[in-house]
Parts: sequence; structure tokens; C-alpha cells
Amino acid sequence: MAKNGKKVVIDRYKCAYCGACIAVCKFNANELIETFVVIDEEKCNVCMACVKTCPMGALAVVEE
Amino acid sequence: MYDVVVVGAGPAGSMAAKTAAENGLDVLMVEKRQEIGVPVRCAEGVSKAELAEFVEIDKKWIAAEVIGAKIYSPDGSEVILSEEQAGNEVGYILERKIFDRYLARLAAKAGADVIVKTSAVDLIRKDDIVKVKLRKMGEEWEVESKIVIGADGVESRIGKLAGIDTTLKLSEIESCVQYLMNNIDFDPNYTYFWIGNEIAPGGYIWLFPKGENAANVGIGVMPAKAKRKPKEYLDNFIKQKFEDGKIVEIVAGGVPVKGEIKTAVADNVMLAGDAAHHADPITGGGIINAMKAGKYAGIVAAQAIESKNYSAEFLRRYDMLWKNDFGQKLRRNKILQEKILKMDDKTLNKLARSLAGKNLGEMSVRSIVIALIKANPRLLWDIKDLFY
Ligand SMILES: Cc1cc2nc3c(=O)[nH]c(=O)nc-3n(C[C@H](O)[C@H](O)[C@H](O)COP(=O)(O)OP(=O)(O)OC[C@H]3O[C@@H](n4cnc5c(N)ncnc54)[C@H](O)[C@@H]3O)c2cc1C
Ligand code: SF4
Ligand code: SF4
Repeated sequence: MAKNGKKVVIDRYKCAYCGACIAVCKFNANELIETFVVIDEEKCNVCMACVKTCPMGALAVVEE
Repeated sequence: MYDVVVVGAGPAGSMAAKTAAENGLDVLMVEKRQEIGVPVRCAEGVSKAELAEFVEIDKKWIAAEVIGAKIYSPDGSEVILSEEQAGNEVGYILERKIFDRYLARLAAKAGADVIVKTSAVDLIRKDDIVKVKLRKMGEEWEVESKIVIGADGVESRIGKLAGIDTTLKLSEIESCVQYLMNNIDFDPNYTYFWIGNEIAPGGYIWLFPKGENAANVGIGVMPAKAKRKPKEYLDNFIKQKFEDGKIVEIVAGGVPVKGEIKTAVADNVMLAGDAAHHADPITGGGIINAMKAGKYAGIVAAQAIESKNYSAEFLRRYDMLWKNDFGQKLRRNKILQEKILKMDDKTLNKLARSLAGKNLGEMSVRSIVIALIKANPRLLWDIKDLFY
């Protein structure tokens, strides 16, 4: 998917594995497995919903 | 083949599994975490009377009792809702780590199978039944079931897999952080709430006592309104109010504040609790509604199995049950929430001041709003019929 060379990355040191980012992803591009958030880059549309929702500031968009 | 597979072992899932098993059904409850109830995503406050309708109260999972609430507007005006004296506690602060496990054990005792560290990852409907794909420690397999109850919380995927769109918009979720704090000073008979667009945009800050000098101090903000992360707002507040407090636990989470959804059923599937956005849009409280919904889903599952009818059409009676119980309150509080979201701090101060010094008695959203309408008829005229 075209994302202008951007992608979402997670800072595992900040993540509190709360699942809020999963609730707002309409592309089903992320999953919380126990304490481990995985983002499926194929499905992710870099819509930023999860980045804006994360209570800990653990998600960010970076240039690929 | 199971009669019912329950996905998620929170209050909704455990109540659903317990109720279905008590009705003689073959039940499997699947929880993806390795420890039920941990990590906690909750401030743990519940109404004493409502909880007592479901379970016998056990001191093992009660951390504190409170007689009321104190609410503060941005300029510090105080509104009190409480019983006149201690001894009339109306609310409990739970120890959810213990409470959630207790409920899961009630389900197991009733006869439900329980597996942990196992995720439900897919649903395939086939000839009137569902295959639920499970994954445990990297291994995948399928179980067959007539009915699936999605009690998988705010991050629910069961709804989406069944065709119910449960994705929350940035104006439909509260992004929350909470600290369990020690060495702080407050009156342990009360819960505390601080509101204001500067301190907690689209949400509020809370303090719920957990015993002597210890409390859950947390914040929820609405991502659509907040300029910063909830953690920054909370840290700011704590620096001013509880500088010497010690943080012994961090909790994060999301609460659905969307209000009533149209339907929580699809063919073979019912959603209960946060998965169906059953949490209250004003308070964010969701434990009791989750338990109610789980129980209703268990009852309807038993009826469906008896009638051999698992169609969405049949399962609509579950929608009827939860909507008749608390659907109207979700609708009402959503309208109230939208109204409050538009208020600036000046208006919030004005409203709080109009009630300052009075004790409003009963600890409920309704009693605050009715008092506010009496004191400020014009500001709230348009919503008065919802509350009388
Ligand atoms: C910070 C915060 C404070 C809160 N404070 C209060 C409060 O004071 N009072 C109150 O009443 N409510 C409060 N709430 C809301 C309350 O916590 C929820 O409404 C309640 O837990 C909902 O129960 P549930 O059973 O629907 O979901 P949950 O308790 O979230 O349980 C869902 C379970 O499903 C599991 N799961 C998810 N996906 C899968 C899968 N694919 N496979 C298997 N298992 C899965 C999860 O691991 C989880 O254990 C608060 C919420 C937050 C975030
Ligand atoms: S950026 Fe959007 S699509 Fe990508 S994981 Fe986050 S919410 Fe999902
Ligand atoms: S919202 Fe943030 S803290 Fe919560 S699980 Fe997602 S990345 Fe982690």
C-alpha cells in the first residue's frame, strides 16, 4: 500500500500493552499478543489513529 | 463440538461462561493472557448495590469502600455527592486482579472449560456453526461451536470477524493512564474527580482510594480533543497535587465511550461488555454493564441451543435484554457527554459554583444533572427530558 515511504513503529520500552491502539485500527493491522504489539506493515495504512490514541506515547511514524 | 465458545475472561466473559454452563451448556472460555485479570486496565470502582446483584461480596477482592464523590471544576469549586456519614458506603474499590480470577473460577466451577495464554484469531462460519481458530504458544487449531460470545474487551476483533464494525473513532475512546500511588493525603471515604479542558480534555482525572494513603490516581482524555498524551497531563497534575506520592504501579488502557451500538449480534455471535461498547460514555464505568451483558448473553445462548436456532434474528433477543436494561442510559449519557464536550472551563466553573456547598446526596450522574438543571435551567433546557 502506498504510504509515502512512512511506517508506524513501536517503542517497546514505553508500551504498557493496554490494547487501546488495537481498538482504533480500522484496517486490523495490529495485534496485541500478551505484552507484544505487532504491526502488519502490509495492512497498515499509516492513518495515525493508533499513534494519536496511545496513552503512553509509544507509537510514532517514521520515514522508511 | 461446544455449545458456546466465550472469547475473553474479563467480567463479561466469565459471567457469560458461568451463566451458560449453569444452564447445562458445553462451554469453553478462552483467554489470551497467561494470567487472568493481569495487567489490570481499570480504576476498579463499582456500585455496591449493583455488584451485590451478581455475586456474594467477598472481602478478598474489596480494597476499599466509599460513601460518596467529590467533584472539582477547573477553578476548584467543589460539588459533593454523598451519604451523610460513614457506615453508609455506596461504592467499592475492587482488587480486580483477584476479582477477575474469582469470577473466572465461578465459571469453571459451573462447568465451563477454561484455557489461558490462548488467542482466538479467526472465525469461520460453516453450515450453521462456527469454527473458531485458536492459537496457543505459536500452535494453531480449530474448535467448533454453535455460538461464540465475544467478550474480548476494548480491543475486540470477534465483532469485526463476524461483520459488526466495532472500530472506535478518536472521539469514541478515552485514552487512559493511572498510577497506584502511595504516601498521598486524602479523605479515604470519598472518590475524587477533577474536570476541565486544560487538565483533562474530553475526560477527567480521578482518585479512587485503595486503603490507607493509597489510591488509583488516573486520567482519561479523548484523543480527538487532547493535544498531549494523557501521561503528560497526569504527571503535571500529580506534580501540583501529590508531589510526595510514590508510584507503585502503572496502568494504561482505552475505554469505549461511543454509547449504544445498534446491534451486538450477528449469526452465531453475540458481543458483551467493552467489546460491545457497553461502558458508560460519561463515567467510563463498564464493569457492571459487562457483567449484566455477559449474563444476558449466557441466558440467550441457552435459549438458542434449546431452540436449535443460532441466527442473528433469534439472537436479537439478547439485544433486547441489554438495551432494555442499560441501552437507554448509554444513549442518554452520550447526549450529555456531547453537550459537556462543548463547554469551556468558564461554563464548567459556573455550573459547579451553582451547586457549591450543597450535598447532592445520591452518587449518580442523574442526581448531578437534575441539580444542575434546577440551578441553571437555560443552560441545560434541551436535555432536561432525558433526566426526569
Ligand atoms: C484506566 C481505566 C479505568 C477504568 N475504571 C473503571 C472503573 O472504575 N469502574 C468501572 O466499572 N469500569 C472501569 N473501566 C472500564 C472497565 O475496566 C471495563 O469496562 C471492563 O473491564 C470491561 O469488561 P470486559 O469483560 O468487557 O472486558 P475486559 O475486562 O477488558 O476483558 C477482555 C478480555 O478479553 C481478552 N481477549 C481479548 N482479545 C482476545 C482474543 N482474541 N482471544 C482471547 N482473549 C482475548 C483480554 O485479554 C481480556 O482479558 C476502566 C477502564 C480503564 C481502561
Ligand atoms: S497507523 Fe492506522 S492502519 Fe496503521 S496500525 Fe495504526 S491505526 Fe492501524
Ligand atoms: S496503545 Fe500504546 S501502550 Fe497501549 S498497547 Fe498500543 S502501543 Fe502499547
